[in-house]
Amino acid sequence: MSAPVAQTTGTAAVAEAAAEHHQGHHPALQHHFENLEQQADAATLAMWLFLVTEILLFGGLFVGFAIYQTWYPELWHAAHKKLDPVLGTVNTVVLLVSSFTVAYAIRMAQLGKQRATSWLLGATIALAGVFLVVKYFEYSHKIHEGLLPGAAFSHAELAAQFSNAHVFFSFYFLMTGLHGLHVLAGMIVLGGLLWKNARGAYSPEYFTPLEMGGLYWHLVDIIWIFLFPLFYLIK
Amino acid sequence: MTTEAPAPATAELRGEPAPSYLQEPRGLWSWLTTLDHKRIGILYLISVTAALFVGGLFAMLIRLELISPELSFFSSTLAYNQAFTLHGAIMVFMFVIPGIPAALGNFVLPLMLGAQDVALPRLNLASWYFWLAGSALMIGAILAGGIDTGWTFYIPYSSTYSREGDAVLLALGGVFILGFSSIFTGLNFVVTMHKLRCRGMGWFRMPLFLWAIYATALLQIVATPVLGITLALAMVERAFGVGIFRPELGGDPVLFQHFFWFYSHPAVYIMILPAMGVISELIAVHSHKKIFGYRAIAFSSLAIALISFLVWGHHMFTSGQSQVAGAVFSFLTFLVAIPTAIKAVNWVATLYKGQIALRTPMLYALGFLFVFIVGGLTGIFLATVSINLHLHDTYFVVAHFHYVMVGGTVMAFLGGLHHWWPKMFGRMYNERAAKLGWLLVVGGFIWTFLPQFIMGSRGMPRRYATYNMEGLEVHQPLHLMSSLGAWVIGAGMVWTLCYLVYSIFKGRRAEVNPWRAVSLEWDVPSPPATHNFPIDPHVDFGPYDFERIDEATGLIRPGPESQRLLAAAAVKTLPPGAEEENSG
Amino acid sequence: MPLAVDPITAFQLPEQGSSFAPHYDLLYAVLFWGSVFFFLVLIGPMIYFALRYRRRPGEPIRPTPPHLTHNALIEIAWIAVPLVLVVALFVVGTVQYIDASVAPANAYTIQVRGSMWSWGYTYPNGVESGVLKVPSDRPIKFLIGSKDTIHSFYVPAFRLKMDAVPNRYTTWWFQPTRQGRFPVYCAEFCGDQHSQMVSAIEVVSPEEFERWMAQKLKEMQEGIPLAELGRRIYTGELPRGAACLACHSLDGSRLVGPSFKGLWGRQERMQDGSTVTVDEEYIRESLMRPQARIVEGFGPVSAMQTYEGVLSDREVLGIIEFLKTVK
Repeated sequence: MSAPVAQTTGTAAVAEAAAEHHQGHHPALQHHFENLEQQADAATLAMWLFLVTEILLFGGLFVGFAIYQTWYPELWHAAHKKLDPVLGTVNTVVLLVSSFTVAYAIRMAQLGKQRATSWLLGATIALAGVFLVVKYFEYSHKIHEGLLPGAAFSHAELAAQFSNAHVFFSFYFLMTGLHGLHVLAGMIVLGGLLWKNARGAYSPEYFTPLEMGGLYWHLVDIIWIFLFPLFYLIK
Repeated sequence: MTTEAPAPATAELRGEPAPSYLQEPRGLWSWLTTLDHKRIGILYLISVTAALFVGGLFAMLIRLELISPELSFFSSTLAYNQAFTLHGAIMVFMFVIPGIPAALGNFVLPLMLGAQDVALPRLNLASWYFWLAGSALMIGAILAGGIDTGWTFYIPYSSTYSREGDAVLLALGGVFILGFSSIFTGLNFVVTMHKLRCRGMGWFRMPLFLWAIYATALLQIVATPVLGITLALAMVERAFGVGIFRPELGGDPVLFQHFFWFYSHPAVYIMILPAMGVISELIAVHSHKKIFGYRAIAFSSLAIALISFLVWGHHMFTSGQSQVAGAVFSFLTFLVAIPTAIKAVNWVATLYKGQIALRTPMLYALGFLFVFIVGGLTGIFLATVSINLHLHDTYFVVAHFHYVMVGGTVMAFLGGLHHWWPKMFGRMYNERAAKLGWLLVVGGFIWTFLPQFIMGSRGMPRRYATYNMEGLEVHQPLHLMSSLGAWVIGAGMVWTLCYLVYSIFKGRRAEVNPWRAVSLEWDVPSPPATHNFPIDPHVDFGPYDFERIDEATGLIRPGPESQRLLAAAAVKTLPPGAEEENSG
Repeated sequence: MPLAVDPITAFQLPEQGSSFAPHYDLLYAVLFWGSVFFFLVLIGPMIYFALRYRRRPGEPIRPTPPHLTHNALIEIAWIAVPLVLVVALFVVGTVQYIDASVAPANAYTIQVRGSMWSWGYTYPNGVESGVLKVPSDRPIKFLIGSKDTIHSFYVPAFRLKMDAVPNRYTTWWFQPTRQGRFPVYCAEFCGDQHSQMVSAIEVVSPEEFERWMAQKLKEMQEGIPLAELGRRIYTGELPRGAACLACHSLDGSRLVGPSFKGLWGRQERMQDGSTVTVDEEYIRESLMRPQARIVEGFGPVSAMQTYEGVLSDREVLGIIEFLKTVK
């Protein structure tokens, strides 16, 4: 007796879509999407929402940083002098260039130039590696000088001036550390994209994953663009 | 090729339903790797129900202890403190937050939208595994000694003074991961609602449950990451001591409270908005009357979501924030009362001249209104900042948020569960058994928590293992009453579980549309086939156009437009050569 | 003169012991009866409709007439009326709250210190006590702090509580209305013995208080009174970092920082345009976070270093007590 009723809802237009659904469409199209365009739209919206959550994740740290800076401006000023602005600038340039290479990689994919895409993705990963190496040298220098978070702090000069100089370095290590983890994650993502691209997964019709990876990498870049002046260029 | 798509529908028309999503594919492995939103909804349903019972068990232990003013049931105050912490943390993070959106929402949201699935099925499954992982860490925290910090993890107690350091770290990690689970669900729902509404499904044709889920999902996306970073910082503080929150290292513990409540206040609405959505459905469907003030209800959900970001400071009226901050937060908190009052009056107005069927889901909706209005009105007491000075951190607050969270969310969860149960499992539960369960749950609830309001306003502080000291032992009769009521709720919950599970095996088979509802989930078989809709649907009616129901069959009658298009579709799809035309 | 409330509301509240309590109870009664009213306004029709408009079996479903699907007048009324009511509540509640948190100038200030799991009290003359006795004839102000984790200083009879937070002072005050013993509880969860962290305020006659205080003073002949301790730190007799006197004169002359002649209770204009009444928390904040608020004309940044970790709580209190004496 129960006669379920998709027919209330059936229309010619949909029947066409359903027909198309079962025919030779693009292999990357998932069953619950009507076409690649809708699928790409959904992926893009999801990615942007994900980026929002990432910004809010960092946002908590940025707010904490700003609050402490207004409470202890003299400490912030004295402590930032222990950071190396040259290395910071180098890393900024490295990341900016890497953002360009990943954007260009997507452009090449749109034009169907698979090899160029691979090379550009490789360059992006290499630049990310350079960034982390520079960061490694910065960190080891800080650790050597005892400019560490919390109880581990042992820099005599700053400790004599300020009772809680370690808080600046707590923020420094937490924020750049979290960013560093994102760089690492970005390298893994880009590596995966490179591997799939080399196997010919992307084409001018379908390059959504590349775009998503690119968006993520731009976010990693932009967060650094905020971190750099906040830590290295305090007036 | 083209005739393949409508084929299941014709089979069903002949009374041979396609295998349901419960039947095919078979095997535990197919469930654990499923990408079907309906199955993920069921997985969530089982998981959150388990969490509800574990959290409920801790509640029973708490109430046992509080029968007597001295320490009587537990061996130490530490054990009591662990019990109330675990009760709170499990209920909030493992049951109430995912309960309605992830279990009920997952099951019905794509069906209501006329979509074949959520936009990101893999992320959906990942969300459930994150839930499992987070819950595993919480259980790890219990095994590692049990946390005793309260579910709010206030610093410096959690960072410095709690002796159960490993447990605190595990629990913080667990909640951190549960947060990701929640973000994934919210993100998925927003994308699905934006991109996968079927043809004809405008925003104002969505059932109000979806508006509520939408507002909830936005909160999940925007608020939860802040909790994530806060808990991550709390973990770092506990493990290494970085001096951002810890006062003995120069940090500010009140900053932690600001961060924590910036999430956790919106989280209160993550818990209650979906419940409000469920209630809108239940009241409209079981009154068989168009909901009163559709747009007012829809926009009030968004208004509540927006205001909820601006009121976190009302948890801190007594933590020494400035008077100006206290006044501002008080004012903003009052504003939440407005959209909430709008919803309440619209629900009551919907009943007016309706055709009301007092079945279990409707009874739960009425029970919800009864207790939720008490919860809301007592919220006004707490928003009044001077009144808050006395009531803050007393049993009045405990009673208030249980009236909202249990009386609100749990009742909506149970109401929604009974409402969609026939669709989920294709079986009817026993109506009389369900009414008895309702009586036990609602009656037991009022019995348990009404005395707590009086205790609180008379000055009984919360989180007390003992109350045998000057001025508090007078509360013993009210505590006893509350503890007895807890057993009634417990009995109601166990009873409900029993008859629902029984119905899966022995219940009467459910019709397609037992309640005579017009949202799309009632337009597919009970239980639905794996593939939601044989052909992608097209709606030309609103979610509460009950006059579209054919009383004889209980099905939704196609409108003139649909009939014309159906006929056209039939003509078009029948000739074998049609596919060339269509494929372009 | 206590304001009377009805017996039903009175049953919900503990006995009164402060001048604030009758005002509180009156507002509580207004909220309670207002809530009862609105509860009945919503639940009465709900029950009536649910019973009156039952669907008979087999009854065909009627289309909903448009006038039953929305009504702008009802929606607007249900925005406007509650809005007016909550704004009124907001105003009354906030005025009460400010009354409860801003103490009169002549209040007798006692420092309350929470620690796991007991309360300690320090009187203005430096007497420290585990028992809290106060005279019934004057307003009493509590300056609340914590040694370890967060506690909350709660006296139900006075309808007041405030958290005790490490590294921070919070405050409330009350005017006793009768003599008696009023239990004190900790209202913020603080660990194992949280529920046993009890104390009591004994409000006694001024004569009895003086007798008790004289006894206490005798007991601590060794100890330096707070104001004297503060004077010694201020002048550098007792070295604690840079001496205050080096930058802040006591005779009105301008040095690196503002003079503190007649500082206590003064309205200070800050460089961001706000004004601050000099009180305990302001002095404490200035010592711990000198950059937080800077007096107009001494900016843009203060030359002062933080005394965080340099001064003990008692020493901060000493400086405060000393500054009160500088007329």
